[in-house]
Amino acid sequence: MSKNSLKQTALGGIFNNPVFVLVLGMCPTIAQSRDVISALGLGCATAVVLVFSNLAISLLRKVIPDKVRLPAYIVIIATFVTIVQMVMSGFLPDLYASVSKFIPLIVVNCIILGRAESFASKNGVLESVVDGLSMGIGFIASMCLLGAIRQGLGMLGLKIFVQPIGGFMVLGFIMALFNFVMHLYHRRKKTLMEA
Amino acid sequence: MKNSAKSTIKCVITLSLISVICVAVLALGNAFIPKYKPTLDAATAELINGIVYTGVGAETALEDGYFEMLQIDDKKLEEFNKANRVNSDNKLLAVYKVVKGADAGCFVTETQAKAYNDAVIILTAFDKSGNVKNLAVKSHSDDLLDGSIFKEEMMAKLVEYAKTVKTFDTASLNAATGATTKGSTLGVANALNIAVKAAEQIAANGGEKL
Repeated sequence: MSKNSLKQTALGGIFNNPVFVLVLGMCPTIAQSRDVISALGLGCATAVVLVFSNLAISLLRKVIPDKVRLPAYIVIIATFVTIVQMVMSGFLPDLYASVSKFIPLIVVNCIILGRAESFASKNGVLESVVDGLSMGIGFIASMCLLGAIRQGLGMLGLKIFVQPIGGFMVLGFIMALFNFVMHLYHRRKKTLMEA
Repeated sequence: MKNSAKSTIKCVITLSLISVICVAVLALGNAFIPKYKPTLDAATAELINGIVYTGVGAETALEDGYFEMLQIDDKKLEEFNKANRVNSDNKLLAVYKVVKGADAGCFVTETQAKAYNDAVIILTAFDKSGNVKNLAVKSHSDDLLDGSIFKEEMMAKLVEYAKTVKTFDTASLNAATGATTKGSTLGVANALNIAVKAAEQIAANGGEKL
């Protein structure tokens, strides 16, 4: 893989942000972005699973038959989710108590399964790890941003933003802003290239 | 052998191998990752101080040694749990003794059971004879929906009901408290049942050992 395509993969967390661009994993995003700590906790758990499952799936991509690739991916992802669950409950019991309901759901998180299917199963180990890291950091950043805004608005007395309905509103506004900025960036880049 | 049969066998073998490796990794993790161990920390002392009478604040009670953790041999604890549990999630975790104050001689059990989402841990205070005095939920991961047994008003009714009986089940707890949950109530019932069994044994041993 060329240096340029590795750079593209590393920037995937921004240009193909799993929350604001790909709109994946919305259930945990809305449910656990009520406050920054929960958002960070679930974001980190998802990112760790994403990196390790990408690594394992990329390593085994030539061994796993095409017909059973999805069950195989689910088994691998579920293993890493269980490990994250055990580590969290053992070392961070308070954080685990607040996000425990959503940890098992990471197994079927579309971000992880999506990256496994569309990237890790077709690319080498290094690229897959970089992709996992990039997407994971992108997910953590999106969750924390959403969490900070919702928590802040909640502290100002606007309790509706702590509720799921407010979560969707905030997400919609950030998504629009994010895509507007991305549009400006791409337009400017195109203009520069043409010039 | 036909190609389709070969391909099916290959799929089965690959999936089986992946599953075996995954189970081995999890078994290894399970052996080395620390599990929850109860300790007499500030949070536990505050809860205990809320269910037994010491006449002082939780911090003072902890600092001045109003409570002590009963030393139970791991093997004996495991034997007790194996003999009295309904499943592997149901266990007695620890016993705390009240050694000072008006309730000196009373003891508090810390028991766990699987509720709806995850484990519920309950602290149950018993008098010297092993009768329920009070109880508090140390932790649970269930939602506080309408009809949840973990709601404050349900818990108050639960304490009164627990003082009158020795065995608990979902139907009787829901009837007594007005709760409508199944998994959460079953968790509470199982945690209380093993607490009562432990209390009977501890009371029979003079409150000094399990």
